[in-house]
Amino acid sequence: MKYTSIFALTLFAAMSALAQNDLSWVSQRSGLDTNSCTITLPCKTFAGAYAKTNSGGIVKALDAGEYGTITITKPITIDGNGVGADIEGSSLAGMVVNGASGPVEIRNLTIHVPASCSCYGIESLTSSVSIENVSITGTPYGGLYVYGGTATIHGLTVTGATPFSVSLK
Amino acid sequence: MKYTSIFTLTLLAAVPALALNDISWVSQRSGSDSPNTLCTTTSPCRTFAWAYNQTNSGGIIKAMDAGEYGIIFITKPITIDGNGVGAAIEVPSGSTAGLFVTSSAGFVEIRNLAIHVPTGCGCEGIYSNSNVSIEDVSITGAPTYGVYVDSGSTATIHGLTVTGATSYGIYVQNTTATIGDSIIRYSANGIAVFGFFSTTQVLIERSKMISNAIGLVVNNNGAAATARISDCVITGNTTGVSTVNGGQIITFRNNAWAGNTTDGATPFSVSLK
Repeated sequence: MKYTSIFALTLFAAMSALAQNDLSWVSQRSGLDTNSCTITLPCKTFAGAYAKTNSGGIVKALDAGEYGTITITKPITIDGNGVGADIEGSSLAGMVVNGASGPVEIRNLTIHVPASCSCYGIESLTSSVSIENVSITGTPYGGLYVYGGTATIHGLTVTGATPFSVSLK
Repeated sequence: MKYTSIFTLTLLAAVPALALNDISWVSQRSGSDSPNTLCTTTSPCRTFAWAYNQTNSGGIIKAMDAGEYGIIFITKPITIDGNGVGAAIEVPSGSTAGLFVTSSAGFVEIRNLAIHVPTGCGCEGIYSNSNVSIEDVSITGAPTYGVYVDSGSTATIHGLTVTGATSYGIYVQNTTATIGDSIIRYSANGIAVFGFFSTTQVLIERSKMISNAIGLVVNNNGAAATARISDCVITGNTTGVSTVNGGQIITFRNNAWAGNTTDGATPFSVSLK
């Protein structure tokens, strides 16, 4: 019985691992992070959807809303999708990209860093990151901080940052 | 009675063919692919492929809301317009491409779309054998070819971004093409211009080839291949530019071509400014 349970748990864990999406969706209107992040059962946050998305996959927003901060350690595209997706910065940064093994793309987003948070908008460490059509507003400590790796930046606006808007090291 | 039934069935079969739209609509939220949906704004379809079959040659298909609308095989002139609402195509394994345009299609326009090719799919973003315009399209994931244009056609590409192509971001062969305001990055080859059985000429302007193994490659692979580049950025690549078999790159001398591990052999044979 014990081994059967272990087997069942292992199988369940394996099935859960297999149930990742290549394309995941988030929705302010109808999402829940307990969902499978498909278009009919979208998740609520980027972080929730990220956890259910394969390496090399994409997370897209279905509708306007605030989708939370996210830490990225695998190749992925986060696409606000032109519907008015936002990240409200808290803790360290709006988005942290750290040691991803392939391209990370961040598109069509607004990241707002409130005065109460001494945060970066986006922090990228030793990764290959593309940032496109992103606005970072409020009072970020730094709009975009890149340390190691590579970055291609196109259509980024940073407003109100102290002490720097974009730092590349 | 028997012949009356056959006549009735024939008439019914003919009705949907007559009811094709000049403009069709798809919706993630309220669309469905059934014989009862008309692909109109009040009765939208669910996928591009279904709507395509309900649309006249020369027509247009537009998305009403954010969603994933499936791959599509195109054999007639048409416009596929994601419509700025967040429309996507997810390319499933076993497919050739997200959008496949055959040589018989005539003029096809693809606009405002995000195409994602998952890792291991071995698929292309867009393949075209016909005259094609591609505008404001992003292709991400791991496509073998972001865009592959071939066979005596013409292509106008504007506002295309390709990330992570395992072979080529944009591959143009036997074709006359213009590429503008586009970005190709983190790919094996950024933009490739190949002559094979007929001359290939590509004008690239205001575009960026960044962080690829090779930024731009031009190859007389059986026929003359020429790339003309203006106001482009070629940087961060392992090799900036490469010419093979006498392929020619002509510069307007206004490009930022620097900061590659190897900028590449000096291919800029003619100054036009």
